[in-house]
Amino acid sequence: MEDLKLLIVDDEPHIRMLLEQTLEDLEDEDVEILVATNGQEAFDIISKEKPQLVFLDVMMPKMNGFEVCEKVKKELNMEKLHIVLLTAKGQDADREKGLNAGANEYMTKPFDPGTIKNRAMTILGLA
Amino acid sequence: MPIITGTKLIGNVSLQNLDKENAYNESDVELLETLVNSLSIAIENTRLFEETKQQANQMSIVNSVSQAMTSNLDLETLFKRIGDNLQELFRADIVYIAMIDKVTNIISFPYQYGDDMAPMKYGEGLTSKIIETKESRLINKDVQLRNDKLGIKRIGIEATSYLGVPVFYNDEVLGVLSVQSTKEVGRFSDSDTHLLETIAANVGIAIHNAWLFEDAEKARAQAEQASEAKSTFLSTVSHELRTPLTSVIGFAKIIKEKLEERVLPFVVSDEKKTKRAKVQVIQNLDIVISEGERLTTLINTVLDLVKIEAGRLDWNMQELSISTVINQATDATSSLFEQKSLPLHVEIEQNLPKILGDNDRLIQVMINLISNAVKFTDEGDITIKVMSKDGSIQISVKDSGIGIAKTDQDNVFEKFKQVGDTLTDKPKGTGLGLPICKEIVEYHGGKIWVDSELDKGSTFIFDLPIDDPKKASRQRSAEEANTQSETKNNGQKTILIVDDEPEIRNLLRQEISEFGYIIKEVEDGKQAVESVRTHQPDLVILDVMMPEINGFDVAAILKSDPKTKDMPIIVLSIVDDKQRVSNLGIDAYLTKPIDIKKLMKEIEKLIGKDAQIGA
Repeated sequence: MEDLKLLIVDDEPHIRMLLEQTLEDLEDEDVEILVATNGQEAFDIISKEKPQLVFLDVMMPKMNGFEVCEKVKKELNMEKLHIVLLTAKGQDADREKGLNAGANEYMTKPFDPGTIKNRAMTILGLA
Repeated sequence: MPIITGTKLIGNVSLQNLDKENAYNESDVELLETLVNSLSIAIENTRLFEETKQQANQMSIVNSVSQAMTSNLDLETLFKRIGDNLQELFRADIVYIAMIDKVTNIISFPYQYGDDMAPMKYGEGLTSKIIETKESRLINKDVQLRNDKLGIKRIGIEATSYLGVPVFYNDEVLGVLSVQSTKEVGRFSDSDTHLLETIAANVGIAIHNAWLFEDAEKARAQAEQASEAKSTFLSTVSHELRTPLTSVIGFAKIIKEKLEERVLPFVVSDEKKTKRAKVQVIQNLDIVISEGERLTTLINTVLDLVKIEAGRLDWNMQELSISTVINQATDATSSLFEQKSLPLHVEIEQNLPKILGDNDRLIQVMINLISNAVKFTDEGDITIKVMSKDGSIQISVKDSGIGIAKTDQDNVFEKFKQVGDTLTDKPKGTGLGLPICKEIVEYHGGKIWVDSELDKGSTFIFDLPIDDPKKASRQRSAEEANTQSETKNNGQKTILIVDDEPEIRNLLRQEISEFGYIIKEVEDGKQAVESVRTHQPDLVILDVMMPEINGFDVAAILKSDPKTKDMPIIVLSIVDDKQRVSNLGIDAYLTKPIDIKKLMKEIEKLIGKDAQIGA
């Protein structure tokens, strides 16, 4: 079986920490947790490490979440990659844009850590 | 013999005989006189005819100019039309329209024919003179000589005949209309001046109107821009508020979980203060979490209000039963009543018709009204009444609380206005709840009002229009169909579960069959369509992301087929696409992870015993 990897992408250090702590128990299931602080770094890690799951913030410097989705879809042939966008409510048009850009689903901030963890377990087939 | 028309000598007739003296006698003179008289009458008639023809022609062109002016609110088109018409009407070699900008003192030429003048400073040329004196100028010969005498500099091509008139709006000169000839001397007459002045008067009004129109357009564009800016601002603010809130709520939850699971069980002490602290830290964290969630709700409320105002809120209008709305709202607020030990009475009239509405938004209205009632009531009770009245359903929430003074009653539906003295009475809530209720009720075509007396309590009432009779008959036929399907399985109803994940199908089968439903399962969209057509289940539970045909496409196929269009569909999805769900006519949708309680509620609502509308 291939190694399970998930990537956390957010430019806010606190949100990264929150997601890391939320998902840290997945390391017990041998899931490797990767972290990126901007869109460009995210794309580089996705193309190199080939994670199965990405929690992707939308508003970020350098390359935003939509651009990451589009670039991944266009340049990397990764059918199994599951992208969860982390958006703010009040940006409905943006959410549609994200799904069109190739994201699989989205979650609204503030998100519930328990829900994020459950989703990650389900998507990675650990539930 | 002179030819005279009116009092004007216009020519001579002369007869001469070169061979004979005394060739003409008196009678010849009389004959010639008669002939010349006839000739002058004929000439006069011809002249009159030509004049009339010309006048008619002028009238028609003036008409067309006026028409162009009244129908054109765009300045550029307006100038072009006026200029072209002037050129045709006066057969002029040069035509221009000059406009003066009173702020910069620059004269520009938005229309020029036969000349190419650059914008110029006010003070130069004949145009400036006309603007300055507010008088028309007709110069039929020696144009330059006269200009030189007046100290007027020649601008543009030299004319042999010049006619220029000021364009007024009220008493203010806006510019000049000018027609010129470069070939003929004496080309224009006083009547031409009069005609051009008549046109100029209309042009003044038309330009003024075009300006007004331009201003209005600018104001509209500015308003749109401001609204756009407001939306962007709110979207940004929303993001900036949510990011810290995410940390606050998220970390508080993680800390609580870690304390409960990993830390507190190992803090074993009989010391009183330690025992108390163990309880308090959890209580305190609960407060942090619930207050964080309260802030989230507030942000959502503000955004909702802005979106409603900007017409950008997604509405999910569907046929619904108001009693379900009331029940869901009272369920959601039951803890409030427990906290204050207040009794709640609900009186719902039997057999109320369905209405068209947005279920979630109407629940929001009810929750708001109920929470307000509880908030402002310390003793007594709260009563919700629902009844039909004059083609509407009327819902009232009555409390026995502090009441609202008559003078404040108009303000309660105003945004950010809370009644009472905010210095002495601590404001409770955001002041946005009732304005949102008002927007939601009005979107449904209803109205909301309050009836209250200080210290005696308040009754908030709103009405919602009942659907048209056609819909009611559709409901009845649906109910009949439902009765038929109910009998085919000894009263047991069939539910088709469509999901590609076997675990989810298992889970759903186990949970739903407990409630006495017969379950059928398929694993993709294609099988779903076939199964529905063969087995005619009473309800379909549909996943969205599936192989072959996705859930939305399955719903579209079923909802467009007359045989299956009334079959209720519940979508279970991780994709929160309300717009699409509502466009497809999907009856309910729930997001994964599955909340079985909610799902069962939806199923009961759609095909349970109490459901008013079935298959």
